Amino acid sequence: MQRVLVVWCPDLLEEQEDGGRGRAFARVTGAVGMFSPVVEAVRSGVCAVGTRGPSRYFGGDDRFARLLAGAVGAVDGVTAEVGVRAGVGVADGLFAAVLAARWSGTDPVVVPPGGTPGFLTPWPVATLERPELADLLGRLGIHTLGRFAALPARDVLARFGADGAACHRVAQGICGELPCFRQPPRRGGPAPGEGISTRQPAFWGGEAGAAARAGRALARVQQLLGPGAVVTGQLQGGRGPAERARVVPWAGGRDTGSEQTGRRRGGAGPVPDPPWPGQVPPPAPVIVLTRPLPAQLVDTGGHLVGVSGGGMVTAAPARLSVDGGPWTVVTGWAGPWPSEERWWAVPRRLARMQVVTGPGTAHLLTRERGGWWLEGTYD
Amino acid sequence: MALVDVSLASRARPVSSSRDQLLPLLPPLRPLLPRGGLQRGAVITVGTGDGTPGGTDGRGVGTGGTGGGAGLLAFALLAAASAAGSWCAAVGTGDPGILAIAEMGVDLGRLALVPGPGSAWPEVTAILVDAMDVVLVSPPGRVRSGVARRLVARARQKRTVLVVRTGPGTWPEGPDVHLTVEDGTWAGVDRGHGHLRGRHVEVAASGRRSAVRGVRTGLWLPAPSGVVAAG
Repeated sequence: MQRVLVVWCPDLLEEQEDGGRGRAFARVTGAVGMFSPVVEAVRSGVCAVGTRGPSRYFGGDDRFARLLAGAVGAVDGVTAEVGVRAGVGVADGLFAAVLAARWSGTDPVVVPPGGTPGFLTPWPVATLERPELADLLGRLGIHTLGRFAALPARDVLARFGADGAACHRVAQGICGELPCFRQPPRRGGPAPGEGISTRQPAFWGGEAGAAARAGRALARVQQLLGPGAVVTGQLQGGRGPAERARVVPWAGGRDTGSEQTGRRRGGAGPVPDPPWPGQVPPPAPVIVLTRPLPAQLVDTGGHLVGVSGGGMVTAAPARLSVDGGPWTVVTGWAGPWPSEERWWAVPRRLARMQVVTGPGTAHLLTRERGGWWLEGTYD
Repeated sequence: MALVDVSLASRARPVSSSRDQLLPLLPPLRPLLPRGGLQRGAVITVGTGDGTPGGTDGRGVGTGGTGGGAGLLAFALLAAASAAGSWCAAVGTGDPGILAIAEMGVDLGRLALVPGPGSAWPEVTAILVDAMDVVLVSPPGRVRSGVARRLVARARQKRTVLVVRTGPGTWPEGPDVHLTVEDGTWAGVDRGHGHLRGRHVEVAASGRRSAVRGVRTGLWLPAPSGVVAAG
């Protein structure tokens, strides 16, 4: 599991109307970005970096965490007079690193490699952010992650379903990250991964009635096709269109906070938008494939177009075929934009290119591992 | 006291004003639909004029299987309604470009997506037509006339706006309005220079209502900032 450093800013977890906290958090991610080119804004107030490279460079996780805590401590908070309150934690996996950061005081908390399962043991099950699960476990007398982790995985799956099983693996330290963790924290609404609430109070007359009706219908679709079949979109920072937006399972009732509904609109606001080198300029493609399709981009002679180390195409693209489909003539192209990204899983070096094929149709292609992939279409 | 005011206000309002019947549209799209809005219970089909199939293959893509702008126009139709608080759903639209949809003004908190319903798409669409304000559906191919008729009847009965992404001959029922996207041209890209900035299209409206018959309008779909603009 990857070593992760998390910066946790308890005062910046929720956005203000005027965006002051969002701007303060952007300063935090900017400060972290001085140490590592790849910073992920996990949610508002929480950002993460992989420690492997930086720790090797700065002389270990401890030193890296201290340097970073110092840099973040010097950042202006919401008002310039007050600095940002921030905890810094390092552990195996995002979940444990967040807990370490929340636990840290003025000094960073570094959980040694392999020490994460033991570190997690005493934490309450409520840290999994699943109120229903915590409630049920509490009634069984299970109050800590350690006790939860000790339950047989098969029983957990049978009793609590796929989401419960995923939480169980996180509690055991086998898996590093909770499903649906990376999203802005919510005020008052049900927790991520919780089932659809059909008991919304009808305080606002027709408005809440419409929300409840929509929620019930979506729950029926989930029953029909499976819980993952209904999704919704969220925006976040990143380079490619697939990174800058997330598709998450519909969790129901998330619309109730009007300030949150507003913030998802248009991509502005709290989505911390530090400069992302290699970001493809807008507009964004209308179709973004979750699994890119293999593509062939060839020049007039039928030879595969490559991208040189200097970020230039080796020949002018002439024709495109996607997934073994028919060839279409390339009428225009732009790029490539080189990018290094997705530190989270495996580091990737890639280049993106926009290719115009038909009347009004264009594609976003990715060059990676010696091949071309269709990442999106401007339908 | 406030509660009393609210209940009085709701009682004093006409039960079914014409305002309630009309959901808002992005301003550049208003010339295309009767009375400049989404009429509750209306069926609107969106397709391309060059014969490319509008229905997608579930993955929603293929070099020959997309229409230059029809996909974005279909989402643009529900943008203003979602931003005004209407509940919207999209069925069978494949892997959606969330960023593009959001840049256009769709409120993501009001849009539920069922990207790959498979053969259950009519059932899923029917469930959602019963409950949402606007449902966008992209059928996987030719739709049987019985299925189409039932969905249209349901939309009319439940006063839900049904937006159908169509290809030539894939939707057997006559819609209230059919929007055709034509002459798409991308600006900003040369051979190796610049980047995609915006796409200019012509959208033609046809349908039963004389109000929009023969209306054509030029649109940036999208404009460089990602929004929809007249042009």
